[in-house]
Amino acid sequence: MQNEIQVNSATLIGETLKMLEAKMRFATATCLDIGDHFEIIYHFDNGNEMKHLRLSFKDGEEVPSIRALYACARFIESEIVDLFGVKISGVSAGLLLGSDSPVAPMRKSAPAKSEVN
Amino acid sequence: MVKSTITFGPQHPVFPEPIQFILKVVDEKVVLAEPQIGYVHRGIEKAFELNDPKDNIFLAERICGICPAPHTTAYVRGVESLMGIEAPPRAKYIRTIMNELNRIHSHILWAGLLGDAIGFESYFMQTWNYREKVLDAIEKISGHRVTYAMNAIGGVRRDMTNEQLRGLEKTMDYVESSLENIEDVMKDYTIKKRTQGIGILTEEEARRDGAVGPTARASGISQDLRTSGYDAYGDLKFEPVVVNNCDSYGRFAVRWQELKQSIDLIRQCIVKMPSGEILTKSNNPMNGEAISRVEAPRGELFYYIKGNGSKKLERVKVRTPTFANIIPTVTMLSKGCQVADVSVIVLSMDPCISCTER
Amino acid sequence: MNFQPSILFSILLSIAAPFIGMLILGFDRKITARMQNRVGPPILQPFYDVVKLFGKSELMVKKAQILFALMFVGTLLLSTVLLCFGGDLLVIFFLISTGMIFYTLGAYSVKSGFSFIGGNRELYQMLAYEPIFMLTVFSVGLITKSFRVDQIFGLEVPLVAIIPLPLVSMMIVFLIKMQKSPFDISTAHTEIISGPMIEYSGGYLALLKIAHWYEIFLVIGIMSLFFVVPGNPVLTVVSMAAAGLAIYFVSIIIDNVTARVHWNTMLRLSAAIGITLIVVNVAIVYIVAYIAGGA
Repeated sequence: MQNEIQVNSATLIGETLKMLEAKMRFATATCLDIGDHFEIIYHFDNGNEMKHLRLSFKDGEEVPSIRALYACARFIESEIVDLFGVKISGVSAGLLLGSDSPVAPMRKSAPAKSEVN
Repeated sequence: MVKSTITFGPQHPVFPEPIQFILKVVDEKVVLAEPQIGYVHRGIEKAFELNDPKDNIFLAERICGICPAPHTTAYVRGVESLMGIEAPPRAKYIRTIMNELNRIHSHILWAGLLGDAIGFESYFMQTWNYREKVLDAIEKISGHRVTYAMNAIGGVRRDMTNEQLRGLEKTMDYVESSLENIEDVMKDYTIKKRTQGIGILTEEEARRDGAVGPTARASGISQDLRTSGYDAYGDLKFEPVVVNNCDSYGRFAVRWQELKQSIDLIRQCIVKMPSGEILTKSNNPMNGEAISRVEAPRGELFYYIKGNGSKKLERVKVRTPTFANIIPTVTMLSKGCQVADVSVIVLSMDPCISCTER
Repeated sequence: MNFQPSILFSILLSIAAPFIGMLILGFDRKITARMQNRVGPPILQPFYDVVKLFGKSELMVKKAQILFALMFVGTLLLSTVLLCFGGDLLVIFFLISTGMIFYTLGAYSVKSGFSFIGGNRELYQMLAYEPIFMLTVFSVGLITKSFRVDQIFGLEVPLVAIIPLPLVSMMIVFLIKMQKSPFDISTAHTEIISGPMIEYSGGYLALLKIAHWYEIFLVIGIMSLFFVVPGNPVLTVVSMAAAGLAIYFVSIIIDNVTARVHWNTMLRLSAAIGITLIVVNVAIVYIVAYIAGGA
């Protein structure tokens, strides 16, 4: 995608801080399950253009939370933890799913069947 | 000083959908508000990956019962950009009309709900009566009042006849005059008393918490995706409605002016409506990533779509405006409002919970 | 000339009282619905509701609730009987207050946040309307030199001719008692979900509804006492009924053109408008009497 910056767990906070200083709005974050690893794309917007931070990490690796910088990341990160079963430091599961819900349903390995076709 | 905890929701008359706010109150003053969602999660994002992209349009439509037009528009625009095609001009105009009709009925619905929340029943009933006419107009165009099924990948599924356009013009005249009838409600003493200075969200807080839509625009942030000129909006003349009240009254005022703006936009569309095809057919593979954003009645609707060249989509991420507006609402609630104001404040951001959780 | 209502009439009126209150509520719902472009429920809907509630099984959180509900209805029944038999207005007033205290205690006796806030708000409402109610009773007492209802029938002119302003203040009391905007704060449906009544169910909820019928009869009855035409029983009945209907119609209109206010706004409004009007009126009566007496 355009305006995309690759980051890792160590540089995420620094790059996010730059976005904050540039007065970008944190729109949302998208988590992707790419087989051997996971990606979280952080989408920022300043009204005219979007910028993205792409964080790649291995399954089971704990990635930092940007909640301290952007308060609105709270629900967004909780949702990713719930649906993908990834680890984000300081973020617990239980926002969208309950104790009897399927675990990490959005992973490609999670069982699912199409109802429409 | 009596401290107590009130669980506001998930079943509460003011919320048509389940969301919970756990309120810590001292007498009647709220000192802490803790939101809880997750009562209606339906796993729609997963379903997007399993179905055919064409069927997904109907899935997107059913994410939200109030704003199906923006959801499908955002979805088909994302898929179109993956395929590298563009809808014909006439289709873009029809999409714009549907989106604006959707905004009109959504805003009128909201205005009525606000009346209900503050115990102004006659106003509530009156607005919803006018909304019926808008829904009738939508039915005449699309054949259905709630799920329009107008959008298709590469255009729209139904054309609009000249007769339908004339009929739409008449409905717009009716809606405009009806709204003028009840416009004095903005000056009503009790309504001002209940909304002015209630639920303050400063510009700085709105930016920090990522508020979108009328919630942001009432705090003085000029943020309206329609100005980016997607679909037919590039050809139409309009200015985003921005007010600096920063309170529930401001959000009321923004929506009220947007109603008039939408009526004006539909009239412009009718005048400028181009002729020609309404569908671009394509079998291009869907490859790469696309972000598609449209301005839904409640604010920025965000779709991230990723294709992998196969017949199904790899990932569809939906971020609805209400999801972005929950944290600003908590900020508003935590400023020591009255219990009586909780319903007004939560309603002022126009919550739509089912689409929040997808 | 002293007009004494016959005992039979008083007995009949006491029995009919809750049904009059019920009919008032039924018509209220119908008229409100018509004003809002709706069809509305049948006139007897409040009655059907209560009958149905009595048929439902009760699920009470605390035994104390039952006691408080019974006491609430009991006190209101007693004050209604007193009013119908031309008893002491002051006693009637204090009985109503006692009833409301039982109602509030019933709300406090359960551990529900909404019920608790509802109880609080009920107290705020009492704080708002009791002074008006009491001052009205006092001003009636000042004019008739007694607190007995039957003394009003012995006056030379209708009360409304001497003290019209307390009647305007009593409108606030009526709006609060009818649970109408802008003062429907204790049962605010979209805020605290019927507040004090939230933990009642079945027959005991029905008792609260019946108590509400009594309340409405009492307030509208006391207000229409202002329209007693002394010495003319037929005209009295006609003018009292007409006045009751007028008061009630005004309250429906107010309900339909206002939103609900905060409890502190209500307190301010009732103190500023309600009490001032009564004090001004009583002062005028005394000044006029002084000038007339001096001249």
